[in-house]
Amino acid sequence: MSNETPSRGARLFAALRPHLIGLTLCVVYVLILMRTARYLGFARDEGFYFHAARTYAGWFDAVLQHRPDVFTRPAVDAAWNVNHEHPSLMKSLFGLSWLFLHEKWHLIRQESLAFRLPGMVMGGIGLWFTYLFGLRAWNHRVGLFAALALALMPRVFYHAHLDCFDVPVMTMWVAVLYCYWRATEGGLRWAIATGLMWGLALETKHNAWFVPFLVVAHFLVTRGREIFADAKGAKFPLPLSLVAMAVLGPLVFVALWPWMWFDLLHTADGRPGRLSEYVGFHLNHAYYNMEFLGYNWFRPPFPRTYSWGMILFTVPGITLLLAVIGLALQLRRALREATLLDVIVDRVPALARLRTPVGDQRGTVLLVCMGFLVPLAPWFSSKTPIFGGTKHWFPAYPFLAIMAGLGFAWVASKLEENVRGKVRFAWLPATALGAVLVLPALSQTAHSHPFGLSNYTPIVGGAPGAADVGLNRQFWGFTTGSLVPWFNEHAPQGAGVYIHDTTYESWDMLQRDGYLREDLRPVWQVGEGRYAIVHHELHMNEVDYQIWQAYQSPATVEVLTYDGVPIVSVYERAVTR
Amino acid sequence: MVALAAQFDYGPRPVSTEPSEPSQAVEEGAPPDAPRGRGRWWFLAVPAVALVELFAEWVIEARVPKPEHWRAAHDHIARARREGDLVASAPIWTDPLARMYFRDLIAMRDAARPDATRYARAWVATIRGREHPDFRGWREERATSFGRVNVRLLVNPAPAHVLYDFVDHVRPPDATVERLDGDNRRACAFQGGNIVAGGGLGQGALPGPERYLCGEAWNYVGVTLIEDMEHRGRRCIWSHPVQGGVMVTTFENVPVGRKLHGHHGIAYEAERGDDFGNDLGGPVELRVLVDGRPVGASVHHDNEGWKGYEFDTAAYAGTSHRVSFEVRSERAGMRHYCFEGDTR
Repeated sequence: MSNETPSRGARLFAALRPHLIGLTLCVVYVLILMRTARYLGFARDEGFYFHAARTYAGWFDAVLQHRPDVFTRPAVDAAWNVNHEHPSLMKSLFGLSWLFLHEKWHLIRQESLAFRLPGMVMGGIGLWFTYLFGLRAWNHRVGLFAALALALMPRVFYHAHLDCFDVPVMTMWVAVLYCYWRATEGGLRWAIATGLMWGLALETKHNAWFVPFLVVAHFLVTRGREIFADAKGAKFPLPLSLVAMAVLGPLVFVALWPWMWFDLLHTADGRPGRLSEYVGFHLNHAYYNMEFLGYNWFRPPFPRTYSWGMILFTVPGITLLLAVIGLALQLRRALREATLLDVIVDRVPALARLRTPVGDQRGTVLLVCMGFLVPLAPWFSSKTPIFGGTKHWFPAYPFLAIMAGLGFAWVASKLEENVRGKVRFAWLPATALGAVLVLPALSQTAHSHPFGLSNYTPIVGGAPGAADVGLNRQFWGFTTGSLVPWFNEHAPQGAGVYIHDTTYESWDMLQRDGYLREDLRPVWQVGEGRYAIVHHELHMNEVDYQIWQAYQSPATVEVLTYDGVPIVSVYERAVTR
Repeated sequence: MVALAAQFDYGPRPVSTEPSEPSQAVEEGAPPDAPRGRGRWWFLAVPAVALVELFAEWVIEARVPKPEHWRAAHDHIARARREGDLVASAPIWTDPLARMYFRDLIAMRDAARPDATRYARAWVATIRGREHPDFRGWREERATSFGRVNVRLLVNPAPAHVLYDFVDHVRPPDATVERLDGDNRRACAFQGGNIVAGGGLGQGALPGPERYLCGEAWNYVGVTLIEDMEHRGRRCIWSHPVQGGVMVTTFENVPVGRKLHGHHGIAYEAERGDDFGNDLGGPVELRVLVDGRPVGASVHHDNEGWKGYEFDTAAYAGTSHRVSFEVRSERAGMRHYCFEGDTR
């Protein structure tokens, strides 16, 4: 063994290597998303955010032009009142991307891609952080497999294309928890990073409200013994990261959201302010409809099995199996990390011998477990709306993926033990194993596109099996995009199309991007146009019957299918000559 | 600053900041010695599961019927069907496909049928070996496969012979409609050739081109399609009840059989109630009279869905009579009510 000190370059490379790998994962994922985006129609919410992002971009442009009135309340409100039920960070990035990459610099030809790019980049960064977490907490193998497992969840892959907030907030969660976890090593740097990152998370989506519950719970459970000891001495110190979150989080949240700059807490006449309006919107959100196991759920109580069932039916089975293995392997360590248990165990000498101190006292496994469970916690209540499908608990998935990475690392170690000395290249067995274990997820994800919300895993029999048992077929009306070739080929000049669940902005974007013929008009009543479409969701069947009535015929002229399952039906009005 | 922070903070945790070597096993999982014997390979069950999952996905995709399978099924049914045969598909979610591939074989009355009791035979294009709930208890006479589509000829063990379908006669001179408000009896005017307008999610059933107008836009009698509580489309006669009054639809010269059979229901969003758990209206009573004499009544309550009724009319069988349907409700708001019936 050499005792030579590594060169500066070698040390720098060693320090940068994890980030080079993370960056590579990020870039490759973003390139794949960019490459596959054109086949994906535009979701309802994307349409709303296109509009909001354009408006915000106009305000940023005014700032860059040093317009004197741009920071006045009328100017701010004119721009930022739009879609103020959601924070502004991602919409600002969508707008800036569009403003510079499409409008000013002409680097991206399609408007939609310019809008969507920041969301894609956030998806890529999510892989980067997941990789780093797995690497730093365990090893390269865990991190790499976790990142791949996350990238190759069909639902994540679909949402990662969009100019929406669900994948970005997933990334923000894992980023906040990574910083918090690093902050447990002590020092100011990571603590401040935790606070700043939580502020950005708050500015991304309201899911971030749950992060403090997680970190406080983690702090209490992993430092229970010390807290009790300190409390006896009338000392109540706090981790710096929590202090940073409490101070920096709200500051970043308000600073980056101009709409919050006025009437934050209350109006001039004493009524509740904008913060209260924002919080109230989400606490009193409409329930909407969602099919699960053959029933259209539209009001509480919702099934408590929903989140678990949907995870089972939409996350590749091998990823779930590996996550279960990973969790099983780490369970004992998780219990040892929970020093709060010591407070009980210390009083029962018979139990004390069962507990041995854990070497790494950061509570890493508990943090991963909580990282998975806390984003799911709202659905432990039967009152939480379920309309978002799986996207609302995406922040759980990086931690599910890390558990899968742990499972993979264990299986790989078993394989290597058995073939040690029998293969020429030591890296080959684990690499081959990894390829086999990634293959089902890769295949499902590739096959899911561009029907990400219609995709279900073989556990439930794929999309046809899901239709049999009654699982939601889609939402947001984005599958209109898959009908573009049909309309371009078949519709007569100037035909009107009732576009059902698709918004005007989404239809308009198909035309602005040059995919859909510009002469085709969206219409808003089923009886108005030459064509009418229905996005198949259980509760939307009434629109089918409205069209039958309007056209006096139940005949469809085209049915867009995914694995043989109807996704969108097209009706054509009989033309009388 | 850092020193201040260190005093304030809870203190660093003992960690190893260096990442583990890739070859290192996960902490809890590494056994001390390499295993021996055949049992040491049992972990290969994990990649085996991956391969099974991959294979399962391939099987699912391979079992999807191709358009040519559906088209061959169409040609077979078109050649073999008799007048009055029903054409359908199973499972029920394939219905949009059936209405595309068999578009010339499925009329509106068949697609939005009240039930299948009147059909003697049904050609059911079946995939995945599934059943259609309308044909439970029917006998399979024969089945022919076209790729992944299996066309089954199902025979109804006890088909009904329908003498008169009221839904087909909601127009003058067969029908008249009146709205009774206490002693005030008001005839509702028939209007044909209306534009079918509106629609969209939550907008409910659309009025058809022909209707008897009795007051407000919703207060009409005419053929419509409602979405029932199982989300199926039902062709029926819209007759929204009026508060404190009665809607009366009367059919003249109806050939009456031994039974008067039918269904009634309320459109899905009106029957299920709103998002906050509030019921939107009261029960609706349907009363049927032959020549002014009651033969039966059925009350529809929320959550009963597409509810069947059957009244004994044997006393009038074989002759033609005036048949009236009276619709009333104590709480008539949001009662997007619809009924259908036939004599048999």
